[in-house]
Amino acid sequence: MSKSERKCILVVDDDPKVRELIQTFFALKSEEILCVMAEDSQQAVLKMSNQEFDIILIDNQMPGRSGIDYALSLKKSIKYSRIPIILMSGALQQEDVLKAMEGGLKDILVKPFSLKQLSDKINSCLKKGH
Amino acid sequence: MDMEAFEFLDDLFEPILVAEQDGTIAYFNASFLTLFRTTPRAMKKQTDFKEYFSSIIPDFNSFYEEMMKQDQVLSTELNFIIEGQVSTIIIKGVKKESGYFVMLFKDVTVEKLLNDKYRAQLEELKNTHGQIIQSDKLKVIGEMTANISHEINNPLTVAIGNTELIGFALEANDLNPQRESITKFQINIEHSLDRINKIISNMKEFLHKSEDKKEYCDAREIVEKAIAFTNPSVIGTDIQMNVMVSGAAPILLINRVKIEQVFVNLIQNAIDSLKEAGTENPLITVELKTENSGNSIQISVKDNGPGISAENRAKIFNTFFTTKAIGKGTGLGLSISNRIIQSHQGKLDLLESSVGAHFRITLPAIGIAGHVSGNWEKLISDNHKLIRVLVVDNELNILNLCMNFLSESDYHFIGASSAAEALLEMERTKIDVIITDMKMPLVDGENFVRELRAKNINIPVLFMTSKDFVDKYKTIKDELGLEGIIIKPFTKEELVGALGAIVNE
Repeated sequence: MSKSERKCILVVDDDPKVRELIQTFFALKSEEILCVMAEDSQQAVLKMSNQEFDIILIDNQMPGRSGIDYALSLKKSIKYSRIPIILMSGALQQEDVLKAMEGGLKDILVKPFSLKQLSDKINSCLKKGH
Repeated sequence: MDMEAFEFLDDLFEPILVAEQDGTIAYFNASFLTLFRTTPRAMKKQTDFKEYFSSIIPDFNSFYEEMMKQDQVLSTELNFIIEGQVSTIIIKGVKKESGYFVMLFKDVTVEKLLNDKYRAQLEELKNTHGQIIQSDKLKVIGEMTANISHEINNPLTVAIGNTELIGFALEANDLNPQRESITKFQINIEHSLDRINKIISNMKEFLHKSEDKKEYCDAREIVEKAIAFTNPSVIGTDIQMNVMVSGAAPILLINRVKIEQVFVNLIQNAIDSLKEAGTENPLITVELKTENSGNSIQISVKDNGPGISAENRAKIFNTFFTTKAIGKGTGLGLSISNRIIQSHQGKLDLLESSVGAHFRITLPAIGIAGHVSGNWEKLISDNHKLIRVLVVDNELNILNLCMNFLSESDYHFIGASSAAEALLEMERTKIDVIITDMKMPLVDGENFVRELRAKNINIPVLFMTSKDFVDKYKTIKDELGLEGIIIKPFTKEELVGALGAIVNE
């Protein structure tokens, strides 16, 4: 498999164990997916300025700026609005769901999720992207 | 009728009317005319004051009858109607021995109106107050639920994921190279489950409506639990937490859940203040120490944030006083904490400090706390019959167990977590029986009893220990005059039975 066909995913989550899990999973299971990790939205901004991503996975509940707000700001930006975003979250408040829907965030991965759910979600997003 | 006879009343500000026995109006002053919006000419036409007042005061007749019955001044509040308007007056009347009726009036319409309004507002405030407290409770529960689900979902995701990873690893034909990864995944699962377990047990203890039951606890453990509980607010900040213990960690006899709540409150306040001020090198220090005399334990919670302004220092313990943004603080934390500490015969103080806020909790040492919280009612009412049992064990679970077992019986339980504490306790109060653990740090059970016997203290002693020490017990039994042995684990019947055997002797 050539490098150009590799897909890059940015994972933004403050929990190191969750980041480790996702990274281990893709390292094991799919060679065509490369994971880049960010602890918070600030790190994510940095990573995104260096590299292009095919999908961004964002945890909703992070200290500081909430994941949903960060995701919505990406959706609004000209540069990043086309990148599919998957929001990872526990039970969402109704207002958050509305906020996400209105802002065009349709892909939500409810925690706790299994790795199968994660890879299904990512695959469907990648297909949609083409 | 002689108006001049009452001229001296002309200067009176209050409306006044004097009538003779037969009802004719003898005198009224200018204020009277103003109040009832009438004129001397109109009043002259009135022949009987009862008739006159009945026409403008609906309830006058009953007032009049009451006045006739009494010798004293009768005062009441009545409505009167003039020109279609209802006003409220206080009417005072008396039938003098001379035969005159003297009546004074005071218009309180405005006051009444204000009073009614004020009452309605007060009522409304009471309602709102109730609602605030209720919504506060709901808010706390709501926040906790959100916290719980967030806190639990992450480790749950990690546990589920790692289970799947183990599944993938097991698919390999040769498992040996996979061993290391599988072990790693398994440890991840274990840690995650452990994390969930901790969260749940924290929450349970925190939310559990605890009855007011005290137990022996390690002060350090309580503080560490409180820190773990506030941990979610610290993640992602630079805040450092420092627990300092001078000497051995003090043992407390407290309502664990409530005292934990106090620490959570104090630590959370410190975190919030540090976060909001954006203090550099934010640090929270919790210091535990036993006061020199051994009678009290002091725990201080300090931060290096902006501190509390002189103007707010006096107010911080007031209910609903808060400096946090609307929706952030309820203003209940410190006042509840203060009440909890007071209910433990302790003190919560805000100390003067040059940097940050410095709170100090003083709690009685377990010996004293035991006297205050134990079945002191029994002690007072049944002083001579009650048997005081001193249990010495460094294992707090055993102390708690004995306390529970003995609280329902006729024994008065006194606990000590070391030989030194036990000796202190014996100076303080008369002890009838001692139950001591064998294996304790510093001074063990055997040496403790040797010390007693050397001092010529011949209180009956029971040993409480595991099976392994039975032989040891036999060798020193006679030398130290031991009364018996209770083998751990023991039941309530065994404990009470062993005590009963001594008492009957």
